[in-house]
Amino acid sequence: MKREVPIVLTFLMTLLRFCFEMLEPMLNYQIYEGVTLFSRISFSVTFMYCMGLFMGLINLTRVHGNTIRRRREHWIYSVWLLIVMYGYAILGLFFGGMESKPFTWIYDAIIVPLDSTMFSMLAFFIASSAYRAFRIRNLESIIMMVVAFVVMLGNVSLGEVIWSSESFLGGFKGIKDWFLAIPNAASQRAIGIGIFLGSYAAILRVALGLEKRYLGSLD
Amino acid sequence: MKWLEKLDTIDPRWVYIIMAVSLVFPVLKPIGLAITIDETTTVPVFNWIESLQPGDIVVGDVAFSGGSEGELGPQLQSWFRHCMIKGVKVIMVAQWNTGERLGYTLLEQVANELEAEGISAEYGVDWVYVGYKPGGTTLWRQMQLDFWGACAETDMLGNSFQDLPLMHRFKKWDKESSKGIMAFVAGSPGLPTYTTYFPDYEIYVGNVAVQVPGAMNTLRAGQIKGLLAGLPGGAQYELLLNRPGRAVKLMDAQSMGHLWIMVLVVLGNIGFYMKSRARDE
Repeated sequence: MKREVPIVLTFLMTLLRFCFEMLEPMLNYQIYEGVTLFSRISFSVTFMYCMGLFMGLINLTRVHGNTIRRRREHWIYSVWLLIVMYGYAILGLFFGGMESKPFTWIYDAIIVPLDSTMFSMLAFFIASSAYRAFRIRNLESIIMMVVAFVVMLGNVSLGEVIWSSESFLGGFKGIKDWFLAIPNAASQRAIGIGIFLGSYAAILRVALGLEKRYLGSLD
Repeated sequence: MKWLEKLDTIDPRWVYIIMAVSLVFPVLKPIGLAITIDETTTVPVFNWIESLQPGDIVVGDVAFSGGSEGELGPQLQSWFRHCMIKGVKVIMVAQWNTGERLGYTLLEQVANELEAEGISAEYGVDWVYVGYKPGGTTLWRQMQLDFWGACAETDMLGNSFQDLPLMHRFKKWDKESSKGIMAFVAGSPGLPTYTTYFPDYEIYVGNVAVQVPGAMNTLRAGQIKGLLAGLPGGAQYELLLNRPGRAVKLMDAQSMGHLWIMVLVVLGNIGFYMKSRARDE
């Protein structure tokens, strides 16, 4: 039963979700006045999201609690993580809510700048890795480098200064646009179709109970 | 030619220092390089807002966080400013909870500036920030059928939809009530939510530069009608609106950063070639 019940539930829910999208009357089917079946299912998904968050909180506490208790390497960071996680949650829950000054200040003055800083550092890493990795070793690397140069110059104002978009072939911008719109779009679509076909196959395997790894070890 | 061989192993500290100077210097002292308006990506977004009537409602989505604010922040602000100037009403949702408050702060800043200029940008009347609602794409699907119910009838600030006049015109998110969607996306969840669940809608996208190649096929196929591509997209929109701002200012820095990367690649290859030749000899 440990295996059969989840498999049957998964199959039924997949079928239900499929029918919602394929059959218009089912999407609008009301279980009672003004309340559709789909809205109830939608709220259950919201509830599951919240439960998932709660489970994550418990799991994170357990994992980092163990690290602290056993004084594993870098355990002090685990202490910091738990302080920040619970501190921010408590601040939002019990001290004026999410619109309180301290709560919004932490977001505006710490979280956003830290996030921006992390992303900004990419400029330095890309410069360093482009310098080390972009070596002309064969024909493929030459093609890749030429395309990269054209796309970079086509994206920035400097490219316009060197080769204007109003001149022959539309300048760097014209060639960049062609690269993006034709070869790139074609390959992106091919990759996309491949991913979706793979996803459909995976969903079908899960729905039909052929794929059981998501159940974990139940024996 | 020993010194040329040394170009193969430039000290990373120099790479970082020159990159920092290349980025900071143009911000402090702008060069003023020309910016070309992209007719296939940026102009359709601008023309879409231009074609709307005062009072029409559009929906915007903040699907990014602080990491992408440098690129998507100016896009969002310019687009919102345009809507307010045209009298187009804006309802904002947020697929990313980490960017929810950031999006509100950016819009509030523009709204205050416009109010000071005498242009109406009153909260609840001209725009509403619904923000993030947990539930993923299933909830976004539910918003189409019953927007109020799906959002628990409250905006991000905790205001009831009952108290927000604009929301009385937006009980369902359908093609009649909204004249299009503008999604500012930096990853997942993002654009696929709309191309999958809102396929018949007028969809426009503001994207970070690294994701533009991945979105080009949707533009070519007509799944999206327009695309603001990274910082250049924001800068172009600011110029179209005749209000140059942060994105225009940052474009020079982006040019210099790209130039340094290209110089590094050339130098690295010269060093690599000289070293290989010396080894062969």
